[in-house]
Amino acid sequence: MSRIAKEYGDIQKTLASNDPIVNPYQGLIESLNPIDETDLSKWEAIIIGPTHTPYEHYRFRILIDVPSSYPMAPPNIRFDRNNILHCNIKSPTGEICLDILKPEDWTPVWDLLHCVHAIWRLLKEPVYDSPLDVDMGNIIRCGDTGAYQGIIRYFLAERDRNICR
Amino acid sequence: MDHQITTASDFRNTSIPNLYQLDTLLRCHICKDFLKVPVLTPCGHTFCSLCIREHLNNQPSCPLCLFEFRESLLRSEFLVNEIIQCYTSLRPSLLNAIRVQRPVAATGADKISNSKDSSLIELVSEPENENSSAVDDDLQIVATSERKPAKRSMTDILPISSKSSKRNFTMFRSERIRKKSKPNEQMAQCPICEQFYPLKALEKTHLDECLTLQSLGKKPKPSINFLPDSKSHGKETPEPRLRTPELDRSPSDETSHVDKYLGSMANTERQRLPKINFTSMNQSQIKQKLSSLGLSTNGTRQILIKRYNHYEMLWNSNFCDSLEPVDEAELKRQLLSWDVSHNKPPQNANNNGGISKLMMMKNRGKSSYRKLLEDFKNDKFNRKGWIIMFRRDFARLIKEAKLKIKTVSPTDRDLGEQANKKDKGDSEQQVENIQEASWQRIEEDQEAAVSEKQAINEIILPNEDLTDADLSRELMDMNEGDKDPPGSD
Repeated sequence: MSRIAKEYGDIQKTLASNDPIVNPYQGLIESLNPIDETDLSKWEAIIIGPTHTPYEHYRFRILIDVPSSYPMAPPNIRFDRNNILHCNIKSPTGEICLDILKPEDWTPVWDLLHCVHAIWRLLKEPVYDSPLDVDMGNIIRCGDTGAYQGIIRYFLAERDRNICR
Repeated sequence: MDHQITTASDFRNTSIPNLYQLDTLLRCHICKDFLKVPVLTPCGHTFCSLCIREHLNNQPSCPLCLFEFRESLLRSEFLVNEIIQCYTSLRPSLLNAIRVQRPVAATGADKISNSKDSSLIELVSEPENENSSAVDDDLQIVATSERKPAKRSMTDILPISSKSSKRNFTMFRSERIRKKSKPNEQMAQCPICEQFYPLKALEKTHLDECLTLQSLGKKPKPSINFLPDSKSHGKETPEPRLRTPELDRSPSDETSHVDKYLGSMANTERQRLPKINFTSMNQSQIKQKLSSLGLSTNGTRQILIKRYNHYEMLWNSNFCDSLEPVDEAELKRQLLSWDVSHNKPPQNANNNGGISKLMMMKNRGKSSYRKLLEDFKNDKFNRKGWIIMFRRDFARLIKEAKLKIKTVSPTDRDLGEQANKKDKGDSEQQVENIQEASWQRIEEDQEAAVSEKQAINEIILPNEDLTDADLSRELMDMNEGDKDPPGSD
C-alpha cells in the first residue's frame, strides 16, 4: 500500500505541472484522484476525448479500484455505466478489455497513470480483433468506419441530452 | 527509517531538476521505492529482491521485458546496494542544498516542518551576516567538547562569503550534525594490524577479517578511512582521526566496504529453501513441513501453502541476496506480520505464545500499544525498542513464573483488586498477582512499563492513551503494589 501512496504524490505533482516534459498527459488526462483522500483504494480519473475521434470534446469518468495486492495484481478499471460506446468496452457495465489490465499480462512496472493513459490510447485506436462489444466490433471489422463513428456520435449526443433532461 | 514518503519528483523544483532521473534510476520499478537488496535478472534488469521474488511467484517473467526465467537465476548486486545506501543518506541534505530559494520567512517555516535535520541546519545558517563565532555557538549545542577544535578549523578553511559556498558548507555541516547525534564512537587499536578502528567495527568484523587475512599470509588490507592518521601521527589526537572518516565515507556505513564484502562470503552457509510442489502433499505433510521450520500451522491448506511460499521468499531473499542478513527470528516476525495483514488472525491464539496474546489485547480494545502493534504489521517494527520497552516485564514474568511453581493455592481470585491491595501486605499482594490470569498480568505490566518508560523519556510509542481514567487507576494500583515497603498494613 505504500506504493500507491508514493504514486499519489507523483501523480499530483505530474498533473499539476504545465511543463510538457514533466506532464506529458496535458490535454489527455484532466484529473486522477482518490475519491476519498483517506482511502487510496478507490480512485477516479477524468480523461479528455482524443482529437479526430468521435470522442473529441467529451470527457469521460473512469473508476479505479486498487486491490490490496497491488502492484502485484492489476487495478480494476471501468468506465461509468452507459457512458461510452466503444468496441473494446462493454457499455452497460463500463468494463474495459485491455490486455495490460488482465492479470496474466499485467506487470507491476505499470502505474495508475500508465493505465489511464493506455485507456486514452484505446479510445484513440480501437482494437477490433478482440471486441467486447461484438456489434460495434463487427461494424468496424467490415471497414465501415463512418458508421462506427456515427453511432458513437449519436450515442454521446443522446447521453448528454439525457443528462440535460 | 523515515516514514516520510519520498518521490523522484521531489527534485522538480530544485536548481538541478535532472536529478529527478538519477532518483528514478535508483528506484525499484515494482515498489517505486529505493532498491532494497537489489538483484539482477538474467535479462539485465534490477529490482528489489523481495519485490521480484513476489512477482515471480505470480508470473515467471521479468516485469519489464517479459523475459522468462526462474528465481534461482537472480544475482545480487552489492555495488548497487552500496550506491543506494550512500545516496539515500545524502539525499535529504542534497535536496535541502539545491532547493530553489524562496523568500526567507517562507523557506524557514517550510524547511523546519520538513525534517529534523534540515531544521537544525536552518537554525544555524539563517542569519545572513553570520560570522564564525556565531556558527560555533550554534554548533556547540550539538557538538561534544572533544570535537570543537576540529570544527573551528573547518569554519576557518571554508570561505563563507559567497552564497553558493555557504550552501555547500551547510550541506557539509548537516552531515556533521547527523554524525554528532550518534553516540560518540570509541576508538580502539587492533592488536593485529595496530590500526585504530571504532570499537564496534573492531569487535564485529575487523578482528575476524584481520585474523583470516593473517592466516592466509596476506597483509591486512588497510581500511582507507582510518589509515592516514594512525600512521602519520604518533600522538593520539582525537580530532583528525574523527575528521578523516567523516570526509571520506558516507555517514551510513559503520565498516568499510571491504569488510562487508568479506563478510558476505559467510552468508552462503545457510541453504536456500526449496520451492515445494504442494499438489502431491496432503494437509498433514504440509503441516509437518511447516512445523519443521518452526512456523505456525494454523489455517486452511491454502493459507499454509501461502505461508510457506512467503517464508521461502523472505528466507531466500535474506540469506541469498542480502549483504547483511537478519536472523531467523526476525524473519519469523516478518512472516507473522505478513500473516496478520494478509490472512485471518489465528483462531487458536495460544499457539503463538506472547505475541498473539498481545494481539488479543488489541482486539479487546486496550490501545496503549496499538501504535507499536501497527508497526508490527508493517515492516517498520522496532524490534529492539520492543525488547527494551518490555525488558522489565519479561524479567518480571519470568520471576513470577518461577514463584508460581512454588506457591500452590489458587484461591481469593475473585476478590476486588483494589480492596485486596489496600488490605494486604506486599507478600500477599505478590501472590495475588501471580494468581491472576496471565494475559491480564501481561497487560498491566505493560501499562506500567509505559509509564516507567515515560519517566525515563525513552518512549518509543506515543502514549496518548495513558490519560484514560481507568488506565491511570490501574497504574496507580500497580505502583502501590510495587513500592509499598513490606509490612506496611
